[in-house]
This record gives sequence, structure tokens and C-alpha cells, in this order.
Amino acid sequence: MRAVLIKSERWGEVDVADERVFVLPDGLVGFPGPLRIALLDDPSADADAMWLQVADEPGLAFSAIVPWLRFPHYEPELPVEDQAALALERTDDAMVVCLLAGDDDARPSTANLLAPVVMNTRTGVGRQVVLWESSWPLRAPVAA
Amino acid sequence: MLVLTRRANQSIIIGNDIVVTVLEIRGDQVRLGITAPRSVSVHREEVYAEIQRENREAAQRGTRMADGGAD
Repeated sequence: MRAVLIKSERWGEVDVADERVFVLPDGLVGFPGPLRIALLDDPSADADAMWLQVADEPGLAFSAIVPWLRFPHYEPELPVEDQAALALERTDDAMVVCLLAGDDDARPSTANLLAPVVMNTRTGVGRQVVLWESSWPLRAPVAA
Repeated sequence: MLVLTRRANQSIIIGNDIVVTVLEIRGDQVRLGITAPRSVSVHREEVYAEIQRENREAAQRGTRMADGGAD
């Protein structure tokens, strides 16, 4: 397994396994692509918490979680065009994370279930998918 | 910004393959029909702006906590 050296303001220099590094050709909404991101586990937080560290921008990292632990009934249905863009053929190849916003009493933590970041672990390509046809919330409360 | 005036049932074409048609005008509401290739996503601007805001906050959460601040 190859490792990639990622620089992060939060974590310093970290060796990240190749398979935890993804390219988002279209970036994230409001953050134009292509973005290369590394998934960094957050040892100070729960097991499902992580950071999407932008590889070439040490100061830019997005707080995220794997949603299933806290939202076991979450069932994002990928629009066909996103599925095509990701060349996703099997659900086993997909990795889904949801971004977290808010971190204090004034703005309690919420997870964005409306626009998850979906990655194809086989190709290393990901994108933020907007589930327009769904009613998944943009701000789902996350218990502290 | 380019400004075009269209009546109901008239269209504009963007590029070669995106057609925006005014379907109905009622008071201050306009219904638009949009035909675009599957590779083009069509978003309502306000939802897009909200997702952008959430993404920014997800990044700020990163910096604030990196500063050793709140949890």
C-alpha cells in the first residue's frame, strides 16, 4: 500500500494511505475543483468523525462524519447523472460522508444529509451529490 | 448580466443544448422549463447558496477547532 504525505494545519504532516485520498473533479459547492482531499480520522472525536483535508491547502479541512452510525435510516438515493459521473456500479464501491457545521451552543452541530460527499473507492473519484428529489435535511441535528 | 425579455411559451438557448422556456407567468411567479443534457445539473440558486454556506461552516469548524477553541 502506498502512502501520500499530506500537510494539515491541524495535524501537521501526516502519511495517508493512498486509498484514503480522493479527487473531487468538481470540488465542493462553493469550493471549485478539482480538489484533492485526504480523509483524516479524528482521534479526539468519535470513531465516525473525520476531516476532509484538502491536500494542497493545509489550512482548508472540512469536518465530516460517516452518517450511518448516527443516522442508521439514512438512505441517499444517487441521481443517475451523479452515479454516471462517479462511474459507480456497485454500492460496495461507494463511500459516503456528510459534512458537519456548527460547533458551539449558538450553532449546535448539524450534519448535511441533503448534499453528501460520495466517493468511488475503486477509482478514487468523488463528488458532492445534491439529493434534489429527496427530503433529507440540510441541517440534521447531531447529538454532542 | 445579459437581460432578455421573453413572453410565455418563448425560450432562450444557452450554448448548444440548454433550453430555458417560460411556461407560465402569474403575478410575480414565473414557471420555467429547463431542458439540459444529463451531465448538466440544474439547481435552484437559493438551495445552492445554502449548501455553499454549510460547506463554508464545515471548513470553519475545522479552523476554529484547529485554533484550540470550542468543542
